[in-house]
Amino acid sequence: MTRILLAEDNEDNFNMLARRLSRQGFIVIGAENGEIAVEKAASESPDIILMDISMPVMSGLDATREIRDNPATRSLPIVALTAHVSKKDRDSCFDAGCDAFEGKPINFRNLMETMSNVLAIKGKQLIAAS
Amino acid sequence: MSQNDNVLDQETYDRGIAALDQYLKRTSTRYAIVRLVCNLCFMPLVAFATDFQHLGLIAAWAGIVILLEAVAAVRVFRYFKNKKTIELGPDGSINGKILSARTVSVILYLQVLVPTLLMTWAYALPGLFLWALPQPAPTIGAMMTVVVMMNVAGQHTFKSSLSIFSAIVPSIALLLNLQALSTAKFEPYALTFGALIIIQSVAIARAGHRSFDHMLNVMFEKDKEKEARKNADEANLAKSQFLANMSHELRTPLNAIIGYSEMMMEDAEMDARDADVEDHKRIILAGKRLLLNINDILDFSKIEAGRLDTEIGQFNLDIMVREASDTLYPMLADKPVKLTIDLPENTPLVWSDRHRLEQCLLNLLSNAAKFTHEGDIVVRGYSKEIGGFDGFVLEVTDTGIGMTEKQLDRVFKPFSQADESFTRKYGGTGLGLVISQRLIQLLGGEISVESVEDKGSTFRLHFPINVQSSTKGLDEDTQANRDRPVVLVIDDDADVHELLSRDLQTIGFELHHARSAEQGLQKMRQSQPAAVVLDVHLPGKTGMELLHDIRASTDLKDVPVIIHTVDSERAKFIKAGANAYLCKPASREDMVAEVVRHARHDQHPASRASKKSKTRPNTDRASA
Repeated sequence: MTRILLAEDNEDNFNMLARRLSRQGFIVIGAENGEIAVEKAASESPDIILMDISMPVMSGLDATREIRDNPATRSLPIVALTAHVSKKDRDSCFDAGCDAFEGKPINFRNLMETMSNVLAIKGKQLIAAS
Repeated sequence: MSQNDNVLDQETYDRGIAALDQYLKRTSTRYAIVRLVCNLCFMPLVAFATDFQHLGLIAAWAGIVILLEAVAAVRVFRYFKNKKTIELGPDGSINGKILSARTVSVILYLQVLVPTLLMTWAYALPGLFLWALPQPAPTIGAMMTVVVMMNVAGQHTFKSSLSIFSAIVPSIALLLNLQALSTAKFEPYALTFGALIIIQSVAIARAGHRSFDHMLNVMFEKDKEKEARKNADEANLAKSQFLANMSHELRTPLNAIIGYSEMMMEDAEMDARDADVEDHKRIILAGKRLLLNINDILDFSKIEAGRLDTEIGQFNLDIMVREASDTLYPMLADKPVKLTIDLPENTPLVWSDRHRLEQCLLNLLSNAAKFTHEGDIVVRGYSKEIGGFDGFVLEVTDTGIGMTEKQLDRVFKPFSQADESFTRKYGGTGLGLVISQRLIQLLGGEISVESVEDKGSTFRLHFPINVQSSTKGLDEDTQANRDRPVVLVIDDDADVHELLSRDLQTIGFELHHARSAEQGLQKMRQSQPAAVVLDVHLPGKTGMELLHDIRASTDLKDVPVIIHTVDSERAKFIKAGANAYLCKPASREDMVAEVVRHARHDQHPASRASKKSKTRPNTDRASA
């Protein structure tokens, strides 16, 4: 089963997405800020990270950079998930090291597709419990 | 920014130079003539006044005046001949040194000081030569020298009015004194002498207008303008920042609203609670409509602030039109309105901004759907030149409520739906058409409308289909610090590079580019790509030959190669060792699928990984 680290500080959005992903049969690990996300990226061995950008303590961009700087977590796929949707915002996500970008409000089907593509590039599959 | 306030920028520098040049030109042409004429008139006057007793002295005087002027003229000529345009560095530095605007203006002035001084001495000379003559000539001479010196001093003050003041006052004093000082012999000439001195003084004063001080004024006035512009920029930035925040704050709750509703709709679907499904659908639809309105308002604000940019890429018009039209069906579901798409057989592949063009078309379509209660909506497309370039027209015709002439006049004006009661009846921000108009203009096109009240309307988008992309540096492998798998595209067609860049970058690859087989081989060794997309028809060595070389090599034989060509001999390429074959032009989906399938996922070239460091400029905090 694919383990998804969901970094999101907004409670509503976290609950919503965590539930939707769990219902699809994924294991969801939560992180309510960037710092926790960096820790859990190393300790919880997720397969993929969904990263909100505006978060307290440490932003998603900084968290992404930290994850990329750590050899143990360097190659983890990271999908930026943010309500900052301008081209500039998107570029800064890619510059920080995100592999893909999904704008909020989330189109759930697109998100699933993106996750599966990003995993496929790293030679993995998106696996749900049946 | 505060430490940069006094540092030059190119524009200020150029303006300063221009002011200086103008000064020099005037001083050495127009004012030089006045000067010379006055000086040469002094001489016969003095000769008469002294009964031609001192002709040798006068000749020497004339000679020296002419010599000085000539030397000055040569210096000026040489200055203009050797003048080089100096390009300032981006930080305002000249040859690597950062200097304040004031320092630079002093340096510049020193360059032209020599010719200026020569000319000034020419002014002062009459005074000196009169020393050798009987009274009152020496007294008059002394006063003239004082006048000239005051004039010169006036030139070097910071107020141009002072230079005129210093020219006029002593000249008048001199004139008043001449009468008293004159002997019988000198009297007839005194008045003329005085007049000449006044003319000369005024010439100097006028030259002073364009002098050093003037140059300083010009440069620092420019600074004031710059300050005003900076303030305006800051206000603009604050506005953009506010809009970006608003966008984020509006989207975040919408994300929860739409997400939860979708989840509850799925629940209701599973339990076959049909009524609930419908309700949730309505919430979702309302949420999405709200999102559209938010987008409209933000787009409009960006257009107003001139901050909307385009992303040019290649796409199929046919697909875009059909996808846009598909979104219309739900709006027409409960109305007797038929949607027809009428496109030519072979719609061209288009270089433009797909997203923005689709946005325009969607605006027209949703308007048509909104205002048509029965009848037809027809989307028609045809090729038509625009401004001498290949172009295309997309037309949306409806049999809706149409518009009166008065309404037609206002249709592209912001904040005015044709009628205010429209907003109550039909909703929407009233910005759709304004945005469409600005977007299509941004893409080099235009929008037009014809309408008859109660009969219907026709909106027409006319746009060029080969918009030049502003994407720079295709040949440079940019963004080297992204630790993403590399796909190397070897193709001599720039369009292919552009197209693949867009398709593959968005899903997480880094693109490198080569235009020939030789360059491709070199870049493969450099970057150890996760996959290669290879064209067969290349200048020089062909793609087929390159493929053989790759498979025969020791270091590159495992690199996945995807052949992308117009040739149809799939078997030949696969046999030669290609991992996949795609017929050109491959669809985005096929290309993505093949690259994802074959790309090696363990390739993180050490050269790139080592570039990663914590010293990366952290410019993104603002958005965090």
